[in-house]
Amino acid sequence: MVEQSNEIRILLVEDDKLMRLGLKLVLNAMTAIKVVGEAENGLTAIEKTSELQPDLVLLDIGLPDLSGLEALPAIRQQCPKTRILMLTSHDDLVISAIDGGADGLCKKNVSNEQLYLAIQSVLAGEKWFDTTEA
Amino acid sequence: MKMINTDIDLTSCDQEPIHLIGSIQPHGVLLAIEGDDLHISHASANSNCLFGVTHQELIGLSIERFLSTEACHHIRQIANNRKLLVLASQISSTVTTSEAQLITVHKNGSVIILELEPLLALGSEATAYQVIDSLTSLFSSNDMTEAFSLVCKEVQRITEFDRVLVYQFSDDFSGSVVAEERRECIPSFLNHKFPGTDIPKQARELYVKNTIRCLVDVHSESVPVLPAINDITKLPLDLSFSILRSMSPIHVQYLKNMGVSASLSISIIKDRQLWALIVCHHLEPKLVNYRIRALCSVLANVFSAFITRFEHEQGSQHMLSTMPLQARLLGSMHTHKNIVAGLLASSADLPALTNARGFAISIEGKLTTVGLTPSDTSIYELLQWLGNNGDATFHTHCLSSVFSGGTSMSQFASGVLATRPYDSSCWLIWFRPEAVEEVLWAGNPHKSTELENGELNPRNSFESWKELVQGKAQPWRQFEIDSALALGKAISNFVIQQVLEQQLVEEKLQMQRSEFRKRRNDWLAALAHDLQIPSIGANRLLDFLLDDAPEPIPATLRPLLSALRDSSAQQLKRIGIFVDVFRYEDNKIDQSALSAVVLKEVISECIQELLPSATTKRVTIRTTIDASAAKVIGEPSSLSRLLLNLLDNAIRFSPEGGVIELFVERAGTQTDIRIKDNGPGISAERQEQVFENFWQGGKPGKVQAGVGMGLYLCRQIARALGGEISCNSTAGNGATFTVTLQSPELTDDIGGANGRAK
Repeated sequence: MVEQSNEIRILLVEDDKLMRLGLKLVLNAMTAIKVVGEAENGLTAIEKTSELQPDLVLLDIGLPDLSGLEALPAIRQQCPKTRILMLTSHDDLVISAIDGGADGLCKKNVSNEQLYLAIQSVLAGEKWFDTTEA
Repeated sequence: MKMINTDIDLTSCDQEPIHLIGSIQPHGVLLAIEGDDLHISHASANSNCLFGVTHQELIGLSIERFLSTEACHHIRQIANNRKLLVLASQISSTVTTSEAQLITVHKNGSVIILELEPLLALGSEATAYQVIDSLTSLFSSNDMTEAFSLVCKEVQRITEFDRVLVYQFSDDFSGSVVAEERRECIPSFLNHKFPGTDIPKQARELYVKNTIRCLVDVHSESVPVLPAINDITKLPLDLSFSILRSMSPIHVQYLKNMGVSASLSISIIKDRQLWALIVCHHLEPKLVNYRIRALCSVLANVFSAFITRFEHEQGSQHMLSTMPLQARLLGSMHTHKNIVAGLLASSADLPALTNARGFAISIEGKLTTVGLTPSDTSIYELLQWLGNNGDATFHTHCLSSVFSGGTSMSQFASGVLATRPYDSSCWLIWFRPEAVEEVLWAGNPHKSTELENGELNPRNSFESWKELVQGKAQPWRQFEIDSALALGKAISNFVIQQVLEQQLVEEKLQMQRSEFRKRRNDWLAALAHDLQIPSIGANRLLDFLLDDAPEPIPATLRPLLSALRDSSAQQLKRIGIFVDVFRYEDNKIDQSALSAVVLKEVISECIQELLPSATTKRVTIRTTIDASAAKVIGEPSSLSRLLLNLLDNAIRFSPEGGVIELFVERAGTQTDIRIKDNGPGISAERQEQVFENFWQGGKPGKVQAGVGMGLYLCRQIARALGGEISCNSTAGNGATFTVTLQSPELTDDIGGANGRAK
């Protein structure tokens, strides 16, 4: 789909192991996307962002220590260039995500196609807030 | 005092107009004057002795001719405002022997009445000072009996009558001599009782109006006041307030029979009622001078005040002594949280509260007694009578006189004091036993009337006559009645408080329940959310493995992974329903978000989504949408969820190759969406049950959770959209689910939307 020369480097933040594994497999199978790191809580997410300087953080909101919404400002501050796409299973957190400075938001059961579009859009500098179910 | 048989008293003597008697005692002269010129309108027949002209000649003349200018000036003042005037004046007349006269002037209506008496020696000033001394000791007395005898002594001393007695009235207007002061020459009436008929009603009323009455000589001839009938009013002169007014012939006879020549009666008024009389008797004729009469009047007033104070203090003392009882009873009721149990815990206080001997409480027909009471059966009879009576409070000291059933229970319940605090389901009753009393009557009261020549004649003997009085108890005093009412009030407050407390407890419980329910639901909702995550992850992973895996999967593993994916998807669907149940549970759809939704689109999307499972089972879905029912009021995603659930169920329960029919029809302001399958159907008894929350109404063991929850969710959604869902089925013959939603108003732009989809 998009050019292969520049691989998109993604940090995947998700506490559920199965979910993380599934997303990793799907993302890595997508053209020109590579999951360069994984984190299962908010603090690790902040550390890894700083360390890896990814193009995009796929950030779960429900995390055991800091919630994704709480980790969001720190990530924004450390890596202003990194795009942040939130993942949630709650409908009512869109406003909080927008207010917190996220670039986009997807439901957890988003289809692979929609997820791909969301990542591309966010990296292109657009906002992507989609709460429709898969 | 006079006496007659009760019956006759009521029919004749009560109506005898004593105040219109038209005559005076002969020791004075009476004139009535009227008008600005003070002309004489009436004169007593003996006027001649003072004025030197006949009473006929006096009529029409002005009083100014006979009295000084100053005296006339005072009389004119009476005409304007003052009520009573006493003055001493010389009469200007041809009668040269005329002495200065004591003139008592009062006004009655438009008439001024002048009563002229000889101006007797007034006595010394010292007498007045002595009276003041006596009054001081009267007021310091703490004993009613002592006060009575003190008053008797004092009145006897200043009036010098042979016998002075205090005659106290009972509730039935009979009188008792409670104190007496007398000379040896005259017999005693102390502790004797006189029937109520001795002083009839109109006489008692006159004693209230005119508090001092003198009868100088029972043997003297009355002098008429003339003219006897007024030309204009056709009535005799009203002598209600006259001092000279002659006594009724019956009363005169009464005194003659008693052997008395002169009498003086002083009224003791309490709360505007005639409470007692101070009665003075003299064997010889006796005229009391004005000053003595005035002193007696002062004494009577002070005595009235004393009695009022004394009774008030008695009431206060009773209240003070019963306050701890009231407090104990009240406290006990609150401790026991029950009226009867509370009262019984302090049972000795109950009769004591009203100085009774027995107490009974009846609540909702359940009777509890304390102390000396009649039998339960008798009390129930009494309660029935009280209920029919209608009054909230009742008291008597002679039950048998008002209640026919009272005779049989008079031993324990001659006195009854009853009150119902809030309604007729609760009665408090106090009982006083019969107090058999030997009453000493002044003459046989049952022989009060002796008819001679068809005329009433008072009894001629006042010899002591004993009678045993039965069926009567000590009368209830006002402060005892007040105590009973106070307990009643406390009980009614207690009941009100209990009801309020009960309500508060209920409200609190209700709040706790709803709080608990909310927390449970919040927790379940969070749990449902969390449960979704691994399933979504697993689905994604299995999708990847089965469809996009970079390396081929061994053929033997593929069916296993596929089964895993199906069951994971099914699980996710159930969790989804579970999550939605909480979303719709409290009608959580904003009513403003509702709008007209095009059904065809929503239905097509649903069918599209279910196509794989329908195809697998070879189930056909036929849709018929009536043109007038193209749109309904709703919200697309909720509507879609509702229809998906119903269609999914229909597919699941349809036989292989079955047909599902979907009709949309308008019915008035509403639209029906009917989904009909030809599955096994639902038995009548389960048809309502299927919409119930499986953990609330259903039997968890028997109901398939996924199905139960799905239909429960459908109902939640239908109701949240302002509609309803129902089920119609005969077992073995398929089922029809009908969703009824509000229709938008019909407009022309709604085109025909008949459609068919597979």
